[in-house]
Amino acid sequence: MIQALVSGILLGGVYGLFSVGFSLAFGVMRIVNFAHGEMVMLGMYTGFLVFTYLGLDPLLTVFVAPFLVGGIGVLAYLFIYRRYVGRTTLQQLLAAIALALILQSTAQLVFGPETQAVRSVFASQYLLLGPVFVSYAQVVAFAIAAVCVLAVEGVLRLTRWGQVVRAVADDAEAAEIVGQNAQWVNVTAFGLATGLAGLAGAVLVTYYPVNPHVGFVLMPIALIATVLGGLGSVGGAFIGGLICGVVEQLTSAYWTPALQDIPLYALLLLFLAFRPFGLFGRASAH
Amino acid sequence: MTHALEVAGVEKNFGGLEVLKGVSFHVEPGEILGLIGPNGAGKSTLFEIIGGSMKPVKGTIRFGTEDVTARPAHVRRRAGLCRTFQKIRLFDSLTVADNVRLAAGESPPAQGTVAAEVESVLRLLDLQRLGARLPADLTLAERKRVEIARAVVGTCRVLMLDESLSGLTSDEAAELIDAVRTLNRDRGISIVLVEHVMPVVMALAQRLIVLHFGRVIASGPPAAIVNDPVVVEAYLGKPGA
Amino acid sequence: MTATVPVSAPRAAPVFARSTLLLCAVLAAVAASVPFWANSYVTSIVVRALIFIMLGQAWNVIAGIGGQLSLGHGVFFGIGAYGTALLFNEAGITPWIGLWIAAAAAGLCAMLIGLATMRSRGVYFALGTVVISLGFEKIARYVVDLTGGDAGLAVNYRGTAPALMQFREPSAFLWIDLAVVVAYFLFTRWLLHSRFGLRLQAVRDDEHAAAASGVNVLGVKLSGLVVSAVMTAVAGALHVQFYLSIDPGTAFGLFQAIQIQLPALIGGLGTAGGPVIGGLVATLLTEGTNYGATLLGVRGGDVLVYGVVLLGVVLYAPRGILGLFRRRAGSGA
Repeated sequence: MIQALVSGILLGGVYGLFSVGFSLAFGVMRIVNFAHGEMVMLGMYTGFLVFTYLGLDPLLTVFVAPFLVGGIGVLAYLFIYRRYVGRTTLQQLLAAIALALILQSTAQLVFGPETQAVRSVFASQYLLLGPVFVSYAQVVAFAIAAVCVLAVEGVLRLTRWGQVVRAVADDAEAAEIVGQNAQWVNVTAFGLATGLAGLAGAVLVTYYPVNPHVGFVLMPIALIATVLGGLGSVGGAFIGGLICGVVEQLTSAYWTPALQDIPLYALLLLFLAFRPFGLFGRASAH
Repeated sequence: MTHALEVAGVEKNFGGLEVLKGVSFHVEPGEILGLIGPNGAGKSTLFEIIGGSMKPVKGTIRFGTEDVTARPAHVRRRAGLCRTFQKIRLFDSLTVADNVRLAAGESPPAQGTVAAEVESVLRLLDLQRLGARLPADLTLAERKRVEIARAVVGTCRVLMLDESLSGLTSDEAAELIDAVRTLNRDRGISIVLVEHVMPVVMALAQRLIVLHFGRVIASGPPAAIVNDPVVVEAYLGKPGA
Repeated sequence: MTATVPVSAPRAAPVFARSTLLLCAVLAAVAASVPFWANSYVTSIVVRALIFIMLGQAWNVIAGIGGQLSLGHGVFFGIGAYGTALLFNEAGITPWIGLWIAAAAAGLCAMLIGLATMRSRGVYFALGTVVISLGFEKIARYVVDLTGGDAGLAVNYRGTAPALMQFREPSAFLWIDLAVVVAYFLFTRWLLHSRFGLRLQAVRDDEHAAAASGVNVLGVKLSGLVVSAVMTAVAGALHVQFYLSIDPGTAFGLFQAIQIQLPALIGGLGTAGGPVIGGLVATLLTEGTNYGATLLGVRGGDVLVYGVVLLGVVLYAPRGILGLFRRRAGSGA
C-alpha cells in the first residue's frame, strides 16, 4: 500500500508538471490543447534520441526539451490556436485533435510504432526507503517536477510577466483595455505551457517507455488533473496530478493495471457534474 | 386583485459582491412599469432572476397566483413570463418566421392555431414581409422587433423589455414604442421596461421603480419620481442618454 | 465557455436544397447498381463508404444540428456492434431483431451519459464523452469472458443466411446499408424543418435564448443524443454483420470516434447532404492513402492524412464542402 502510494506520488509529480502546462493554456487563453499529450511525447522522444544516438543520459535533455517543445508549441499557437483564443469552441477542439493526430502519425512514421524504452544507468538504480523501493529516476523526475512547478508558481506571483498573465487569465478584455499586450502574453504563456510538457516528457522517459500513441494516454490525465485541481489554478493542477498518480497506482495494485484509470474517469465525471470549478478553482473562472 | 408579477425580497451576490440586496416590487395586470437606475444597479441581474436563468440567494417570484421561484426559465416562458435581452439573441440559423414559430410552438396561444398566431404577431410588429429572412440580413431595428415578436407570441402576460431602444434612430424608436403600446393595449400584456433613454421611459411608463446599488430606492408615477430628491441625487442628476 | 458551433448551417435556398436532393438520388442509384458491374472488392468499398456515411449522418444529428460536440460517439457504435454480436452468439437472436435491442441499449446509455454531462457547459460535455469512451474501451479490453478482450469478438459464421443477416456476397449488405443511408438522409431533411429540429438548432445557436423562448434545453439535448445514439448503434450492428468481427479499438477507440466526425465536418455540418458528400470524400481519402501507403511501404499514413484534412477543413472550410457552395440564403430565399 505504501509502495503504491509512494510510486503514485512520484509519478504524480510528473503528471502534475505537464498538467500545470495544460491548465495554464486553458486558464489564460481558454484553449483546450488536445495535443498536449503529444507535446509530452515529443519531450520523451527528445530524451530517447539523445540517449540512443548520443549515448548521453536522457536527463540532460531537461535543458533542451522544454525549449524544443515550447518552440513547437509557439508555432502551433501562431498558426492554429491564435484565432480561437478566448472561448473554447468546437472548432478549436477539432483543430487541436487534428494537430494531435498529425503529431502522432508523424512520430509513428519517423520513430516507428513500437514502444521503446530508455535504459539509463541512472534509472536502473534503486533505493530502499523504509519498506519502499523506488528508482532514482522516479525520485529525480519528481524532484525536477516539483521544483519547476514551484518556480512557475513563483514566476506567476512575483514577476511582472506573471502578473500580466494572471490579469489576462482573469479577464482578457479588461487586461487589453488596461494596456497589456495580450497577444504577446498569450504566445509566451503557451510556449511555457508546452515547454513544461516537453520537460515532463524528458524526465518521464527515464523510466516510462515511449511510443507514438502515448500522447492519447497522457492527455486525459492532464485533463482530469486540471479539472480536479480547478480551472485557473496552477498549483491545483499539480495537486490534481498527484491525485491522478496516486489513484492510478493504488488501483493498479489493488485491482488491476488494465483499469487503473477508471476511477479517475469516474472522478472527472463527478466533478464535471457537481463541481466543475475543481478543488481550488474559482467559480467565476468560466 | 392578484398582481401580474410580484418580486419579493430578492437578494443576489457574486462571490463577495452583493448585487441585489433585497428587491421587492410588483406589476399590476396591464400596466407599463419602468425600471430605471444607474449602470451597475443590478437591473439585468434582476431580469435574469425573474426570467429564471439565475437563482437568487433569497427571495420569491410570484407570477399571477403561482410561486415560480423554483421553476426553470422555459417553464416560466411557457406560462407567459417573457423577456427580451439587452444584447439581441436571435437564432441566427433560423428564419424570422421560424424564430417566432419556435416560441409559439412552445407556448401556444389559448385560442387559434400556432400558424395564425405567428402570422398575427409578425403583422403586429410589421415583420410580415421579412418572414423568410435570416437575422443576419436584418437591420438593428428589425432584429429588435423580431426578438419582441418571439417574446410575445403565444402565451404572454408579462413582457420584460431589456433596453430595447438603444441604438435606434428616433423614427425607429417611435415605431417600437407604438408597437409596445399596442401590445399592452390590445393584448393586455403587462410591460416591465428597463431603459436608459429617459424621455421614452417617462412617456411610456405609468409607474417607475428606481434601483440603486441593488435596492429599490423609490417607486411611483414618473412625475413624482423626477422630483424625488433621493432619486435625483442617485441618478437623475445627469440627464439620460 | 461553451463548445458552440460558431458557424451555423444556413437555411438552404430551395434551389440548392433541390440540387442536393437530386445529387443524392443520383448517387443512390449509382450505388445500387454497383454490384451489377463491379467486382466484390469495389462493392465492399462501397459498403464501407455507406457505413461511414451512416455514422456521419448519425453524429450530425446531435453535433451538427444540435451543436453538441460528442467526441465519444464510438461508445454507441460499439454497443451496437458488440450488442448485436453477443445477442446472436450467446442467445441465438437474429441480428434483424438483435440490432433493435442493441440500439435501445445505446439509447439508454445516451440518456445516462447525457444526464451526467449535458447539464453543464458544452465543453464539459465534449470532454466528458472523451473520458467515457476511453472508459468503455478499457473495460471492453478487460472483461475478456464477455467481449473477447483485445482480440475482440467474432460472429458465428453461417454462410449465406438472410434470416440471420449473413451473406457471403457483399451486394446484399450494400443494398441494406444503402436503404439505411437513404432513410437517414430523408430523416435529416425532415428533421431540419420539424419542430424538434427547430428546437435543436435553437439550442445550438443560443441556449440561453432558447430557454427564454420556452424550450426545454436539457430535454432537447437528451432527445437529440438518444436519437443520434440509436442511429449510430444501427450502423454498428450493420458493421459487425458485414465484417463478422469487432474489437475494442475499432469499436470504442478514440480514433473511431474521430473518424465518425469526419463525414459531417468535411461535407457540411448541420446539413442533410453534408455527411453523404463528406463520407464519400473521406472514404476516397482512406482508400487512396492506404493504396499509396502500400506502394510506399509505410504504415500509419492514413492517420496523418486524416489529421491534415481535418485541420484544413477546420481552419479553412469550417462549413464543409457544401458550405463552400452555398451562400447564406438571404433576401427572398
